[in-house]
Amino acid sequence: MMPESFMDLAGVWTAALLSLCVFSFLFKDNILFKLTEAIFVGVSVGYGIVLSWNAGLHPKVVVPLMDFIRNYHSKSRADFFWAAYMLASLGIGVLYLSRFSPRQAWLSRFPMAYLMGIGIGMSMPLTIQTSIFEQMRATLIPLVVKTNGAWDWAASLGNIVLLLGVFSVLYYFFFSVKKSDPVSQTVSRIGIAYLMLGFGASFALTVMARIALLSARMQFLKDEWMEGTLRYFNLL
Amino acid sequence: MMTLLVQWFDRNYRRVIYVLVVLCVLVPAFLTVRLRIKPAGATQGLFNAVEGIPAARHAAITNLEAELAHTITNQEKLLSRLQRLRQHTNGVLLLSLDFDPSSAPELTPQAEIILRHAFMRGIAVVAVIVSTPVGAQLAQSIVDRAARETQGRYGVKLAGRDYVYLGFRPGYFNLIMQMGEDISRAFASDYAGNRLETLPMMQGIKNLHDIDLVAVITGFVGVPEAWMQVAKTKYNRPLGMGMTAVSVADYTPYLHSKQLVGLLPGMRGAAEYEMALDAPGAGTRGMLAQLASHVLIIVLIALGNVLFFLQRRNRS
Amino acid sequence: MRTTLPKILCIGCGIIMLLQFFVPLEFVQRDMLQWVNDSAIVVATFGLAIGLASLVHVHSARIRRRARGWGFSVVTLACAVVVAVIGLLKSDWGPVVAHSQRYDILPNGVTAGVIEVTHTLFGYQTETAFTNTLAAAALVPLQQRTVPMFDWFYNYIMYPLMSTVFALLAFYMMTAAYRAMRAKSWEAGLLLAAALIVLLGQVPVDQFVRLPAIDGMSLFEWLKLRILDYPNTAAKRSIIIGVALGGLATSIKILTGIEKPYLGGRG
Repeated sequence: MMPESFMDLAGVWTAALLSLCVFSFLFKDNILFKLTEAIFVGVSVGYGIVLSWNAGLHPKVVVPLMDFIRNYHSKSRADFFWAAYMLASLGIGVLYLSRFSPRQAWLSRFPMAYLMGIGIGMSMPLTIQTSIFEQMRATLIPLVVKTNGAWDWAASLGNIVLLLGVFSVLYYFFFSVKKSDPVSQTVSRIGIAYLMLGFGASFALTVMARIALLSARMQFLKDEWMEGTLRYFNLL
Repeated sequence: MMTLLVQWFDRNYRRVIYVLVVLCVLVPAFLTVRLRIKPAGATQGLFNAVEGIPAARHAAITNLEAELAHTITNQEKLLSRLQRLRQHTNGVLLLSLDFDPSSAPELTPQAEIILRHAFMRGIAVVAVIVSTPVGAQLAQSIVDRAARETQGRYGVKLAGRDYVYLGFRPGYFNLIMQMGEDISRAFASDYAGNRLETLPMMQGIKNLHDIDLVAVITGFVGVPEAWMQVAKTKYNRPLGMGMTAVSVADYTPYLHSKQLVGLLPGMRGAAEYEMALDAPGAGTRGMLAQLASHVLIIVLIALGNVLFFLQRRNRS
Repeated sequence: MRTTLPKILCIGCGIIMLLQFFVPLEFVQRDMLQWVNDSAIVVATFGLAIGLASLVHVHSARIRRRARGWGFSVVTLACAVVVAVIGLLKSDWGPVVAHSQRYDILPNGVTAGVIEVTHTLFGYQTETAFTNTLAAAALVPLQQRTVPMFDWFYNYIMYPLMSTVFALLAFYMMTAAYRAMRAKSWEAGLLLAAALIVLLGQVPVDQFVRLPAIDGMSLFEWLKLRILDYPNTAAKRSIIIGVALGGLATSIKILTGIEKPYLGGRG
């Protein structure tokens, strides 16, 4: 966004100078970069504190409980149990803070155990279905594919490649099994070949992500900082 | 001469590469070259899914009317569901903008083009962010800007009537699970603090069953799995994704197994979607710098390998 | 007790949440799930807060001890306090310091309305009026939005810094590509070959260099899609299945009390 007010211009210049301080790290580590890093961490912490209150504690804890206390006479028995459960959860959550006391740090095990138990119980069947059953189902595909009665060699070859790849890579990952015979070693090597092709593709795709970030920063410095400043002072 | 050049490059390669990278990224910013990028199957899948939301909503209404006519149990529940479906005849898109500034340049064009497509078709949009508080502000600016920019062409888009941005709440997996049953329980108010029951749009949206398509734009590991487990596996909602190019390779198995209707691969995915919609934007503009940088990295890899083999030959 | 009670809590909660998938009662599958989700969100909020509190604790300890680089910790805490105070204060608090006005012009050139901005000490209030573009009627006041000073810190400090820090990786990736991407073995050669094909397939090189076409796309684009659809899918699918099976085994070990990661390595 082009700077339109003084606050915008001050902001754009702040952002540009801080960005250049970060880029100075490319030459060597220096005090400007360290200062920028400290500012970044500080602002992130401040932002996190505000969001924890505005998006977390306030709407999820304070508002419902205050609403309950104000209207308790019109609440049902189920609502009372809910309020009691929320207060208990609040207590469990506060136990997290015991980590700062070496003697009482053991109390922080309760919220961790609570969240871990809930998380595992809720996600285990879904993980089995999503990542195991569905993926296995998509792997058990026909090796001979016919389209309109004729043999579709491209699709058949693709399915064979896919099936061979899944099983050879899974076999490669069985590190507890000794692979001394030629067949096991060949299958493992095929698995490694598949992995190398996959990692090569991943590396190539990484380039796009990093360049997009750099491109955006360069665009900002060119458009909003340089051009925006000149336009603000009517020099362009 | 060649040996001296190679030796000089070997001592100063970092500075040379840094300058070349800056040139590859900065020079395209001054050029206007329109690149033609044909949409691939994965991008076309998501495009078709968004395009088909109104048809999917009509089909859902028709099916529910038929079910209501032939059933005598659960009539009240089915009727209330039918009333909610009829509130948004063009369908509802749930867009989860789960990214922060570290992946924004790649994912913002994806979010913008999907929003533009939804606003073009009159689809109601519910935008959320479930994974990180750092992206909440960014997501709001993206949604508001998309509503403003499409306003001149596709009618006034009002927050609360045509789209709602719910913001961020902690809880992640639990939050998504809660949205599956009751969105207003997960988010009592939108990002601006307006209670959901006061927003006209949310009268017709109670939970994930009332959503026609869930689209997740993310650069984080774990977020796609969470959405797949809840939205797709548990509630069987059509699910599409847009992610940073680096993550795409890891999630193509889900596309292949049809757990995802479509997958946008980074900035190229945004460019492909813009081409499909015939609305060039930030994705298409960014591809020229990508082209230059990709050519540079290929040259560097080739140069590195040539020098390596030459040095190995000289040694032997 | 210090190890037994957390273990009982973890196993108990896990089994209850597992059972809700298999008990077809509305109370269990809807109401109980909602209660547990509400509760987990409350506890998770404290988890978020503890991370922040921990950071503040570390930096204050560094300042107290006058450890190396304590000056930077002062900057960090000062920034955190300033941003937190500004963010938690009511955004329209403070005296009015300025007024400004600008026209809101849409990309298609239509003047959508007038935006009047009032700047207060800790924030700025925006009153926005949009023209009704359908009826071309008079300006209709639509929204009053308060944009706090807090947003300024996000837009002009947090966002640029976070993007720039990650943008540095582009430079390191290029130098790493030159130094480290060498075909020293057949495996590395295969990785390089796949990388080069995908790199060429990612960008529309065929617009500038004549390349053979297959199925309406350039050769490298076709090869890229085949690599992603077949060997890459096979490899990543195996990894997904392997990781899921490993996670499943670990989950069962936690639910049976064999593994207790919440104890922090003790017991």
